Amino acid sequence: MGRRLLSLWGKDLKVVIRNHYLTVVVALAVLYVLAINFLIPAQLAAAADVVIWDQTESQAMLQLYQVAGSSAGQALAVNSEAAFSEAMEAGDTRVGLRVEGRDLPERIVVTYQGYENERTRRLFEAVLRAQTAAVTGSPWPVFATDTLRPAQPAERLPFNFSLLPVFIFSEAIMVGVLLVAALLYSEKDEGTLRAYRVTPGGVLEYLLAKSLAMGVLGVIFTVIVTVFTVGLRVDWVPILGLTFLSTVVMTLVALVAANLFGTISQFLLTGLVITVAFGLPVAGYFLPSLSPWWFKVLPSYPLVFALREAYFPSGNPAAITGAVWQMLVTLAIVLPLAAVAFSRQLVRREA
Amino acid sequence: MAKRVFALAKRDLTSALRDFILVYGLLAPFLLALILRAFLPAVGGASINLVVTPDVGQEVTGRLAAYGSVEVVADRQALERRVLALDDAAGIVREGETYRVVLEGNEAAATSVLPALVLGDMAALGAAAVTITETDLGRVASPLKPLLAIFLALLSMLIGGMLIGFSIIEDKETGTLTALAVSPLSRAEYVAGRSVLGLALALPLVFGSLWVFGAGPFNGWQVLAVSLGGAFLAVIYGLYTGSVSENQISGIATVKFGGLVFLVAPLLSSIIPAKWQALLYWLPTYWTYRGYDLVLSAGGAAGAGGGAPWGEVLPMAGISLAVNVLFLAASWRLLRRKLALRG
Repeated sequence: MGRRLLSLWGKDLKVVIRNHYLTVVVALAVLYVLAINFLIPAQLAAAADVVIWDQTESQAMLQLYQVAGSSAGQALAVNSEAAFSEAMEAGDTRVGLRVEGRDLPERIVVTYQGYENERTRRLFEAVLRAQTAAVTGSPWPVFATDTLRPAQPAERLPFNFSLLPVFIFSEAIMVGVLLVAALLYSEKDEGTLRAYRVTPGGVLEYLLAKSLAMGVLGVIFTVIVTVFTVGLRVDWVPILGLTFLSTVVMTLVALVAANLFGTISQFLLTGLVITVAFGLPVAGYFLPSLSPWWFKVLPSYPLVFALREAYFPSGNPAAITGAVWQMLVTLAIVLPLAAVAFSRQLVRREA
Repeated sequence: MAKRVFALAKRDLTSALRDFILVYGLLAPFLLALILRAFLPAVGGASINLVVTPDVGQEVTGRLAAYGSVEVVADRQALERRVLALDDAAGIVREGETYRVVLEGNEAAATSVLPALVLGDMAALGAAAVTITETDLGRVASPLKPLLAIFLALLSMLIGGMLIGFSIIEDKETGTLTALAVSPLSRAEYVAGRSVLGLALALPLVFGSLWVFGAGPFNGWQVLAVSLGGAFLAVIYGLYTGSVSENQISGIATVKFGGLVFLVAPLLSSIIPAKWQALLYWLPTYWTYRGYDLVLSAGGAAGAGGGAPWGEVLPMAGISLAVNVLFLAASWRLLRRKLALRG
């Protein structure tokens, strides 16, 4: 089986190279390298997110917001109703504060955009009450905090590098979703599958050879992007291991779906839906408190966190092992499914 | 001429219907719109995740739920396991008459700071020295909504383009291009005929997917104005895919590469600094993206006179159309060579 698998893998790699897949992957990798190094900024420009009109004599709230490095957020100070309205209209993520009182704040009118939910509003008011307590000298209860992993680096990742796990997921790991389907339909059209049936080769070898070929493409993309962005001094084993395994699994998912359709044109749009559906949990990477249950079911969710841990270790290897386990569980489900589907629907239909 | 073009388009339609390609083509954007629609409230509802043990008590747990989503776990060990999970979640445990916050250490600022403030707010609420009242501007749509809507509209055009591209590839593979070489059909007529279906599909797909997604309120006439110029994107994408690909395998490679330019470049425009934006001006999708951004972010129905100012929409739609046509004209030499009817 091993020799047959290697032979099939080699054949698929040749087809991949002959049909310019390797060229496309290398070209995409170069584009991403250029984008990460030269186009995407290391830090996003901080836009004002609080518009403050402090009408008190002390201007204490305004000063609180203007303290450099204040956790209160970027503040835009205004001093009239018209300027307040104009500033609020200009930004669709801004919150407005009208601070009223003589010397110290006595009343604050918060102007929201309108889409903020009740919880967001209550949280904002909690922050405001803590701030006003600090300004007015009122007592504010303090609560102790236990940090379970205190050794983690507090330094913030540059924004362009923080996107690396997302790009590796979208371009390296999802590379096989459309490409492998094209290989499959091409072989179907050329009668290769029919010829393959009379060889000692099994369905499992056929599927694995294709997935492994896509795994190689994923690894090539990852190596190029990694070397020319974060350099050679990274932990290559988890990075390449995660990429290879995940690309193989995602390719098998695509093969199961591709088996349901007769032509590449029919599958193309399903491939697009698969790509988007598996891509949505990546939003949890940008909004870490966003974690609906269906994100966690999809292997792409732990994967991006695992890639971040592999690239920028924070002392949480469980993130990598967890993602590997979830990927292996997906493999254990998808591989037999693909084998059964292929032997029943495709190979027999071809015969 | 028009008769031959429409005959080709009709054949395209028959073939697409027979192979269910049209059905899949029509369904895909709507399915994507439904997925994104399900996803949007999750983003809008994101606040903080809190984990508590039963000894915190039902009353406090209920009050915490007003600030964030609260999960009750069996004991401190389970709480720590949950806090250490991939997403950001803060634990709150009881300690005598007070409470203690449990964090992993790598949380975003909101999750690391807010739980203690929430506990403080709950404790100090009655004694607050400052009155806080609220009002809003009445903007009910999250800022993410127009972005997703633009993504859907562009994707709908991309799907129209894929249909054009793969029908040309099919002509190459089945030898139809050779057969057409001995017919009175000219190259320009062939290109026009092959583009009709994708072009005609792009507009209903854009409007349909926006409607299913719930992208409104928007001024439909303004979306139409931007879409009319933008619909040429489908033609450009389709002709490039079809002309540079000799077979379906290389067609997929082209779709993969072209898709990046088609969708990622406009998204880049929202994160790259203003001084580098000019690098994207040559891209047809950039202007269509800007046009959709203008009309879908403005809100407002056509009847109410809502939406973006027409004085901004029409020039943007015009630039989008002009860049698309110029791009197509600049590409014509390559397309002409690649799409030669082979006798």
